[in-house]
Amino acid sequence: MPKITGSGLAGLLLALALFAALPEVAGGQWQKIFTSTTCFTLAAMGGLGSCMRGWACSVWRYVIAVASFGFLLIEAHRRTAPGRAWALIRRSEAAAMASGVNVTLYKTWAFGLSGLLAGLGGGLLAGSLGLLDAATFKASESALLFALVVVGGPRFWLGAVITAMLYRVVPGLLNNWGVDADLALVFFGAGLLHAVITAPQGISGQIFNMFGRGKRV
Amino acid sequence: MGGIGLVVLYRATGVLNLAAGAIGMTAVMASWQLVAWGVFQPLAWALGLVLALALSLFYGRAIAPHMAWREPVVKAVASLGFALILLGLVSFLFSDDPRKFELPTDKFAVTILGLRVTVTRLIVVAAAIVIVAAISLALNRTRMGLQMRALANNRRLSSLIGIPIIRVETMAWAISGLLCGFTGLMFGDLVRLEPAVITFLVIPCTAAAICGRLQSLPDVLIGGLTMGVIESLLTLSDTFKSVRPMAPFVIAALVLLTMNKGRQLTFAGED
Repeated sequence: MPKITGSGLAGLLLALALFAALPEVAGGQWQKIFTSTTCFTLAAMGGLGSCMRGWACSVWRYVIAVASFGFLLIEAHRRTAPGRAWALIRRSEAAAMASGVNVTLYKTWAFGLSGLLAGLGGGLLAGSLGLLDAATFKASESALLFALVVVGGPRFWLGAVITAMLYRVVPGLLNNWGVDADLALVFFGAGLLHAVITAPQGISGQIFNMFGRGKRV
Repeated sequence: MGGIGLVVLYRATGVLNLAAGAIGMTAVMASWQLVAWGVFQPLAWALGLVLALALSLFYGRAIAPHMAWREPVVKAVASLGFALILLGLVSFLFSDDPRKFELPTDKFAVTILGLRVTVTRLIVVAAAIVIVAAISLALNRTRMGLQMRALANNRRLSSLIGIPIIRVETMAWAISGLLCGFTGLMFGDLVRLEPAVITFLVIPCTAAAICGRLQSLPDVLIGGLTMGVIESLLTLSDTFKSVRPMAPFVIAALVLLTMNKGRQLTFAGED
């Protein structure tokens, strides 16, 4: 039986409950963090929409500043000790532990950072929408967002940007073309299947690979 | 019931099927439409089950083999894609109008300890117990069950020793499809006939499955019943009524913590 271990089960449960951190089960830390940053990008796009309509430009600038801070914070982690520890944990928890990495500390750190970014992103999203209501973000939205993160490329900063564009722009385009918005779910589901089967690194991974940066990232 | 279907498929193929809710949802929506068109009710239910069976077999035969050698998590995420496709198609085909799916057994009820329980609910509980007993027996006592367990344990070695992989997997997906269809019909009647709601009921179902560590069917049954009872009891409290949806996850988390108590090393992934 392909085992999902105790920690894996716990991770799976948490991911389903919060619908934000499923890749953690596979040991991936970056995916989770970039999933959180997608909220920033979504908020930025919402803010941009408001700005283009002639109001709340200050909100948009504020969102851009915080989003930049989020991406810089991630990059700082990626280039220092936590980034190296996470890379080793992702490869093999046992090897990481044998190498002296405090696995529990760094996994908790990753959860904490992910939570911080998700919290900031959620706050900005609510601010840009001008609405604070849990019912506006249903489970189906979370599942859709998660699917798009995988399609966009969960391991790359560009993936968060692509995800936000797919999430916001594609339904709008379909609407303009007179196509039922429900069909966007079909396209996104097919995209997720395609990404999982043929392009595990998502669109951004393919873009970076095209320019020879994928391996380095 | 939903948790049982998930565990059966996981034990046989190693796939945690997050599209189970969407398959059940498609079955109940199709049954509702057929009944609305005047089709004889039992025939409409049977056709709904056949549709669920066909969808499950389609995924199991046409899509799942592409990920046969990937990690369980990747397989689970892929099934979410199939769920989104089904949800999108059904949302596109059906209007947002409220609709109701009723079974004739809803009209009959018995009183147990002062509580009125409909015959439909009794059927669900009885069916869950019978299904758990039958599938446990089949998995542990029959040749097909042995082959399913071997396949889920190690697909490569199973193929080397001559286990008919395609036949065994097809059987597992078929059983899972029928369970999804039956669960969907029950959800449509007992919860709400709304595509998104039924599709994402797979999440609490997964929590129930986790109570059995995705292995033990009796544990899943007990865990699922416990979650249902506690969730229902929380509605009686004004304070905790709003946190009712959290109950399955809190219970599953407590079960996991209890089961992992005393364990020093729990590695994820291939370790």
